[in-house]
Amino acid sequence: MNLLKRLAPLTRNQSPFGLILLIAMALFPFLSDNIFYLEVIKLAAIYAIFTMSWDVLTGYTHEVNFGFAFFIGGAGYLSGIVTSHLSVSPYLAIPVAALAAGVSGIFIGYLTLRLKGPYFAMATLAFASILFKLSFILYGITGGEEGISGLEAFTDDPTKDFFVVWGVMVAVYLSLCLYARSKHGIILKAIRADEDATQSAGINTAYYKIEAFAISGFMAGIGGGVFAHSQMHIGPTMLSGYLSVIVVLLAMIGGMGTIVGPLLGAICLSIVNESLRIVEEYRIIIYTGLLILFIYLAPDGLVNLKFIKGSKVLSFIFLGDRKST
Amino acid sequence: MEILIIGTVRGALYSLIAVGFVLIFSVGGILNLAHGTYYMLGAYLTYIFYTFVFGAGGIDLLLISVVFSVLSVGMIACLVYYILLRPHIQSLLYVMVMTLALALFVGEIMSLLFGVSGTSVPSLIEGSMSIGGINVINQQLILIPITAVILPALWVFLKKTKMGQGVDAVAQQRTGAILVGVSVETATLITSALSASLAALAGALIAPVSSVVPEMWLFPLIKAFAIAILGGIGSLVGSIIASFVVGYAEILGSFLISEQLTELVALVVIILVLVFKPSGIMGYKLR
Repeated sequence: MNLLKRLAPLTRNQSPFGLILLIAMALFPFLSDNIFYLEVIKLAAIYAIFTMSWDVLTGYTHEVNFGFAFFIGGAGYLSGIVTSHLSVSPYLAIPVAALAAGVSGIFIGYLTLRLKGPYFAMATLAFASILFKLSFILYGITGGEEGISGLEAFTDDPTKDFFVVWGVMVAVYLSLCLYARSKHGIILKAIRADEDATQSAGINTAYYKIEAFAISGFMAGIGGGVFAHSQMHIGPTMLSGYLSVIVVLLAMIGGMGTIVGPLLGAICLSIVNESLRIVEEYRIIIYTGLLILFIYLAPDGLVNLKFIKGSKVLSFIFLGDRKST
Repeated sequence: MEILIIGTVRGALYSLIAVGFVLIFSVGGILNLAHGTYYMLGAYLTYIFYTFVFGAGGIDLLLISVVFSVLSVGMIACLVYYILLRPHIQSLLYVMVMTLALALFVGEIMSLLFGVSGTSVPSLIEGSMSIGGINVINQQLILIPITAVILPALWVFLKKTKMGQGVDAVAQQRTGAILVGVSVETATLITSALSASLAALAGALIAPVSSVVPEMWLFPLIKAFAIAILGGIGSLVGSIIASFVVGYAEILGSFLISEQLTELVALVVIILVLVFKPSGIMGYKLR
């Protein structure tokens, strides 16, 4: 009974749509035996981890993090190096690498979060680019352009692998929802609305922003580690600007500042991306063109569209918002 | 001596790229992450015009294709601004994401059309010259006089002509400019075209001596940003000084330490300046 009471906030005000999406993904392996589709869904789940953790900082404070690959690739490389050189289990290596990503998030946040707008965005981009270049320069450790292959997988069965990834995704989703609904999330929203006013209310805004940055880095680190081990390979593409941009695009298209929006955006669009493989040559062009179109038509994201926010039913389904304003 | 010459060539190249980047930011408030793409398009369109339209003729045709490519990049930039950016120009995030997505998109199109291995364009001037015992390729050397003509011309345009004064006014005081009847829309449109053309010119001129590949947009973008930060965003003079500083610093770094580290120089510059002196050497104080 006590446990149920403690778990109550997890279900209260939860977006029904988000939950349905998560459950539908879990049911998928029982409906289809096709390994290819399973891999697609797994990739979508990993992208969802990235976009949701990106959303915690940028969606809630509007401090644009353009170098998200720094955390993803950094933690991925770290856990890849640790497991392959020191033969540690990935279940230990990933949390350690994610923790390192979180700590570097505190450090970078301390240095850069006093910058505003474009300056912060470009500083994060620069940090990510440095790591990208270093992955080539330090080829002795990182394997240069080829990266490190043959990383230890979670399990030997793709279906079990999928459930590991799914479990991580659900955990990330629920904990981020909890964080966003707590006092901390509300303060972040206040910072987004007016940082000076929040500061004059006696709130240490720098602390909360760095905290959000570190959490976002930590979650991305988990995602990066899971990505590396589920692909059994890590290469410089995981540190590239392309990945950072794709994360930003997917989260924006889904709808920033809602956690469920980025989840939706990442899953739908990754599936679209993979299904475009029938026209492999033109895939990336069509995909990026499609993303540009989405951003152009709905710059606030799908779940933040006016008719969803305006309608009581729809805003409850997508956002879990009962008191619809 | 070698450092001096090659550093000057680099500085000239960077200043062509960075001036446009700074200009469009101070006038339109647009952090144009597609700036490197304009540079790339300058190189690619020169190649397209020269090879496919003029059938790889003589040197005069090459010159014409450079002019054509610069003009068409200017027009493309106007279209991008007018159609894609204008509706949500207030949102910094939208502008950054849109321009960066555009950069990826164009890069992919170019790699589909011409392959990832790249193409090349013949030089405007063949051969090389020996200055103080060092051989320098002529194509690189012409960057110096061209930059020496373009930058003062830009200054004259901004300070002496009516159109340029309007642009300058918007950059200095947006609200004030609107009050005295300057059209911000027109000023931004002109600046988009101008800044893209400068980047395209740099790309077209450097194309013969560097390979024309689909990834070539990223490197000038990072350089332009490092220079803009170092010079202080919003200051043209600062950005020109900073271009040469970065140019020399890179050459010095590659001579003293290693070739690989040159690309890190710009990135380290960004971070050091942002952390220790966010306003740059000539910039206005940050709020």
